[in-house]
Amino acid sequence: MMMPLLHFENLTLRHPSLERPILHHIEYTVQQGDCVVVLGANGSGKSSLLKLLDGRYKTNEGKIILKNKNILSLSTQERAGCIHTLTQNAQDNLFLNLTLFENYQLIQNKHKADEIDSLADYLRAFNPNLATKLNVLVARLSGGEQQAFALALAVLYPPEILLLDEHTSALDPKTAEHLMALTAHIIHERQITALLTTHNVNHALAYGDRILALKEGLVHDRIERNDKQNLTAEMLMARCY
Amino acid sequence: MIGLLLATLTQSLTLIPLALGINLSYTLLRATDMTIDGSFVLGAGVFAQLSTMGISPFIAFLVALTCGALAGTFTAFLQNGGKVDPLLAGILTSFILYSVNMAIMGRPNINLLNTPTLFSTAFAHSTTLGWFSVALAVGLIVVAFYTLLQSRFGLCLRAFGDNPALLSRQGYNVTYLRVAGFSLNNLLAAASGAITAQIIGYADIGMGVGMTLVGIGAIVLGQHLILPLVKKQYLRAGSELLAAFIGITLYFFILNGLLRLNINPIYLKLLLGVLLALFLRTATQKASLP
Amino acid sequence: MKRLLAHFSLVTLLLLSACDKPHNTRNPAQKPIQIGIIIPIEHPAMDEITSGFEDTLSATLKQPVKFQVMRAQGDINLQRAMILQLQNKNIDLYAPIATQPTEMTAAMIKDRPIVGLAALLPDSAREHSQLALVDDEITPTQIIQFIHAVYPLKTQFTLVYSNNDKILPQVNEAVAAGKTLGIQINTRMITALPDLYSIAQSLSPQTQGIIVLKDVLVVSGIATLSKTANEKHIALISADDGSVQNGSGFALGVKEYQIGVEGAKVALNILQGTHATDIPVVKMTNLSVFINPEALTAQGQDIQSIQEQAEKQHYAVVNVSDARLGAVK
Repeated sequence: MMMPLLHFENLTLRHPSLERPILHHIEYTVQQGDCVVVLGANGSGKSSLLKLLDGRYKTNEGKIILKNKNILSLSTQERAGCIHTLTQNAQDNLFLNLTLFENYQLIQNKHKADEIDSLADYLRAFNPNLATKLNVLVARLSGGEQQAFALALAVLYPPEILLLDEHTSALDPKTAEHLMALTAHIIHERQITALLTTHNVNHALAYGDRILALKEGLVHDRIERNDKQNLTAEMLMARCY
Repeated sequence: MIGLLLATLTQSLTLIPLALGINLSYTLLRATDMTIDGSFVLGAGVFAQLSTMGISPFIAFLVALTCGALAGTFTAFLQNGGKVDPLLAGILTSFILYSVNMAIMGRPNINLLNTPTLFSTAFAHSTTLGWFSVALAVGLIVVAFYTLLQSRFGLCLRAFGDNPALLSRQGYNVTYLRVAGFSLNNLLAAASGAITAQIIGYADIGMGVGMTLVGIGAIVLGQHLILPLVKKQYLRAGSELLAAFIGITLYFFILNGLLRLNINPIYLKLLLGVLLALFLRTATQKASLP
Repeated sequence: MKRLLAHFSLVTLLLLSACDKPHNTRNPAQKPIQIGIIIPIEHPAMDEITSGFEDTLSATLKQPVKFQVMRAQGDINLQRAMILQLQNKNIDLYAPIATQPTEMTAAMIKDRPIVGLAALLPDSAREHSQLALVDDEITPTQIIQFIHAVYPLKTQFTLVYSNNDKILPQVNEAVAAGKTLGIQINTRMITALPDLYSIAQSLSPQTQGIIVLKDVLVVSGIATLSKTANEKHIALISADDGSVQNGSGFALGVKEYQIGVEGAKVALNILQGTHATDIPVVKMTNLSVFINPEALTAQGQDIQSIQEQAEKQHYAVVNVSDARLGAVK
């Protein structure tokens, strides 16, 4: 049995203008190294769950325990060291008007001790194009290159938890497929614990270790490692939506 | 022609620190900071008041810079962690600064014609030496500013202007960066005010009106001409600096040129305004391209 | 397209401004005297001063004279450029109007005479340049003496002033002048406009009149004092025409045209060879009495006595309600 890394305890999020809570009594545990796919229709609360984790949303109801510590009381800055988010919007992940190298410098600042190979070598593994564009503004990269670069920076110093909030959904299908495969490869190789939201049930089946389905702010279904093998995309669709 | 060039150079020189400050707020922090109108006068007023009281011009100059930085800090705090628009906060501060400046100066106008200033000894010797000493002081400010921009601190300010939310999620203290950025640009505006007061012989409560807009116009002009020529991003800080110089020089070149053509001054502001509007239009169009 | 247009207009401007016009080189004997007038901001008073200066100088100077009027429209960058341009044109004499343009001209021009019109500067400011000054401020003593002449029986006045270090010496002078004439002047200081109301409410019952000097803050709230003066039927006396228009009964002041006339005399003196700094600061002696008949009646003031005294001292009487309609130049 692996040690539980993250635990949502009775987590509830309300919005003053909504009668129904956005998230209601969420109870869930994530183990070290898990890749959990959060599924659900639009408005099911899956993005809100991720935003509560990285501090973009705040609530007082319930707890999010990360390594024995309730992180709901921490500021966005204090969470920065252990949680990293990638979304579909490049401007949430990268400084678009800075160069690749400058983006890297900003990340590196916090981890002065680590010696790493040159940035170009490091980036080649993610996307060969990136290595030649170190002094180009991020805004000038293609969407696929931006997300690949964002992923590269996200795992440069692996966070405790990597949040992937539909990070492929703004890309064309081929690029999205490629980035998803790359992401899965990287997080498995580096044993990174990840929470991933997507609408693509094939991705969920292929890359998720476990699946958490939300519906109208409630936990609708949980699919564990062993159940997953017998599922088809159609069955998953029927169970989760 | 020589007269025109000299007029242009001497006029631009005193406003170069202001142009750097506006470059910092407008290009790096991406905020239109109207505090500058007020902190320009604050710098001039504090310097004039202290130096007429017999305090050494060096100390008076340093205090003037500090006061400018404090005005910027105030604007940064008014923004309440990014919840209040910087433009609004700046207008508010500059509004308050009018009273503060009046209180500091005690009267609307302080003359420095017979007061020792940073440059008075040099000017008494010869005009050339005088302008050389002004150029030296401005040069020092430029070098210090450029060094700062090239440092990691400069990178953080640029990142703050680009995406404060992301910078915060990366664990940086954005409140500190906001204060630092706005203090620095108002410090530069105060420096320009204090230097200008020494050149024109007085500090006046109304001397800052419209300075921000002139500065932004000049910088947009300069960037429009310079930045398309610079392809290497790591030369960016340098080219922005160059753009600020060229913009402010060009502004005064046109201003002096139009005067020399005997164009009715009634139309002068209109002409300059139309020109700047054209540049601002093209600048925004360029920015909106992918 | 727009970018092209912007580039095009910039290039045109540059080309235009690069072509300095060739100077007219006529016979040196015929060359007119060039005088540069610097007007900081558009205001009827500035135009009055300018006409007074131009009219008098054209009439008295034997040589032809050419005036270059520069209007800075409240923009100090423009003003600086204008002075530099005058310098480039080899102007013979500079006539900046108001204190701020005079300071700027004095700081920038060292080798030509300057006549600062309506400019108040300490003598020390004249040391490093050829600066002559026409000071339009009239002394508090003149005001108190005139008040005493109009109302020889009134001995209790209240002087309201603001905490402005330029005003305080004038207040002290007024109080001293009153003492020699047997008038007791009580002083009341305000630090902000709202103070005026409480001061107006707590005036000593013995007060027979309120005096206001050329004090920007107090003058801007003159309506408050006017209301009290009207209610209590006591005189409100000020020192500028603007405050008379806004409810003060009368003021001893200076007509702007006359400032220009005095300035022209100084300029003439300099052009005839006197060094500018040898000419003492000119104080205005040719004064005007501005009256507001409506306010005078409401305050129970004596119009006839004012007119008689003005005539006696050769001061022009200006009715501001006429002036407002443009009937009096």
